[in-house]
Amino acid sequence: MIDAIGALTAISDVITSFPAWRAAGLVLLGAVVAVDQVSVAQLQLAHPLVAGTLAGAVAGRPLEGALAGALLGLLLAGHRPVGGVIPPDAGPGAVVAGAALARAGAAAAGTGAPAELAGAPLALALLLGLVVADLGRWTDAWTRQRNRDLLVQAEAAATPAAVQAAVARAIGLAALRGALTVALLLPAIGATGRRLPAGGLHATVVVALVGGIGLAAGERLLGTRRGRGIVLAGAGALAALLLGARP
Amino acid sequence: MNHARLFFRGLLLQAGWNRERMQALGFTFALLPLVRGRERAIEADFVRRHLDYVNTNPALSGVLLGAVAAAETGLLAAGQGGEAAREPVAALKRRFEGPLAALGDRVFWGWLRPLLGVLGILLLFLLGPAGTGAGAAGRGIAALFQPGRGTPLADPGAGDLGWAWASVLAALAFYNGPYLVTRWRAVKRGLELRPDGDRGLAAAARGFGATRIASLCEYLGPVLLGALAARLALAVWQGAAATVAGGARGVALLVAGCLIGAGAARFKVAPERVAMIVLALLLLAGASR
Repeated sequence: MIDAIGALTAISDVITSFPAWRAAGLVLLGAVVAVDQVSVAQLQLAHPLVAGTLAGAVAGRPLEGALAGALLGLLLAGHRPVGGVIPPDAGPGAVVAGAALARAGAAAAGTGAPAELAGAPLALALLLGLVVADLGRWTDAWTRQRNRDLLVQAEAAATPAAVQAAVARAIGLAALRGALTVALLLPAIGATGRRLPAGGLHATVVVALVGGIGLAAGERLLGTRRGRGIVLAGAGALAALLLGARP
Repeated sequence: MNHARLFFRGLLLQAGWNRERMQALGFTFALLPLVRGRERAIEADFVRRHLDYVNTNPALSGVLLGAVAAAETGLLAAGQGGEAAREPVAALKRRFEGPLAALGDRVFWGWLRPLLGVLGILLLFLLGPAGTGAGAAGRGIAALFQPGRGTPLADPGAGDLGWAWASVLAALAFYNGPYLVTRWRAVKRGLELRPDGDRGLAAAARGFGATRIASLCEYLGPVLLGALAARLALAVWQGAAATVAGGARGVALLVAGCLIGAGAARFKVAPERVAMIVLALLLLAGASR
């Protein structure tokens, strides 16, 4: 048993560069915010400000998480879950962004690094958050299609127990989606802390670029298939540039 | 049906949300106690009838849930379940879901949710006491706009973290207070409603204050955004040395921001649009320094 825990910890360290319990906490948080976002109660635990702060706390630096979440919240504020619209997956996106910036903050703390260093990791964290939020729409749409299948099954059985089981499965599916989303992004979260580009990039220009992408994403571009491709390609290129810029 | 039970089951309204029948699964789940333990045929008919399309705003869904629960209770007691209940219940859903969605989406998704974020940022990063509270976070934001100054990163103290958690909890309470109270009262109103058309709905909306919340937010939103813009501008111009209000000039800027926000409210400016424009302008201003 102890060997198994040791092995898991070692694997987690290799993949994420932070302890297994923090990784497990982030995955659990991903599940919680994905459920709160749509399925149960909508108490706004999935609001980027809240989810980002919680993710930052789990990753060890709540203030950095709050900063990433707050900015992501502003960038995604134009999207509303009204009618049949599936909005960006803001909750899991904020968990990833908040944890990424928190790990970057933890890596820089105590090194006497200049504060301008915060710009590039912030840009990278916001990019990660925006990409996760946008791609999350597809997985969200997939789970909602499964919800339709569950409804049809419950209708065929036509019993209260079948309805109850369908609701439980739908909530479980939402939780699994959020958990998997964050789990798949753990290496990227760890990388943000490991590879801080010191200088080289004018931090605020990068943040402004992200702001521009966010504006485009929020207003028009992400509404079309072609626009989404352009934004995601640009975001990917910028993320590669940031990750590739070694200290 | 018990008010509290319907309220708590109603929190799962969107659990099985899908594009074809929207909230049908959660809606049926909330109403299940009405038929549990009855004859198998009644149960089956009830489930099939309610797994039909339904979609409204979750915060105000209690009106619809309560009204349908009250109608179903009456029909079942009178032995008029089954096919006989299909049309009156469907008519009730059609009558209420659209107007409730329009009102609820405007108040909760259109105003309160974006304002949660704005209020959180104001409290967390911009209004904390300098040197304690949000001081470190405020300095961090200011440093973003002042590359090259080389201010060392500081670890936040216990005061910073306490302020951060208090700010996030206050922003959550700002949303969830009206949201949960409205949701609770909506169920109560729905259970008391008699299907007498739009007058009943209007009375319900007035009764739990949703329209008052909307009116208040139309002014509160732009005022908060004005304050946010002013405080961010102060962080850009005064940099890491910025105090909470930035002295007399800072107070004047804050008041001006609030007044401009109040003015914008007259022109019905969408809060998220203002927030994004403010953010983009300030980021560009910072980048050009």
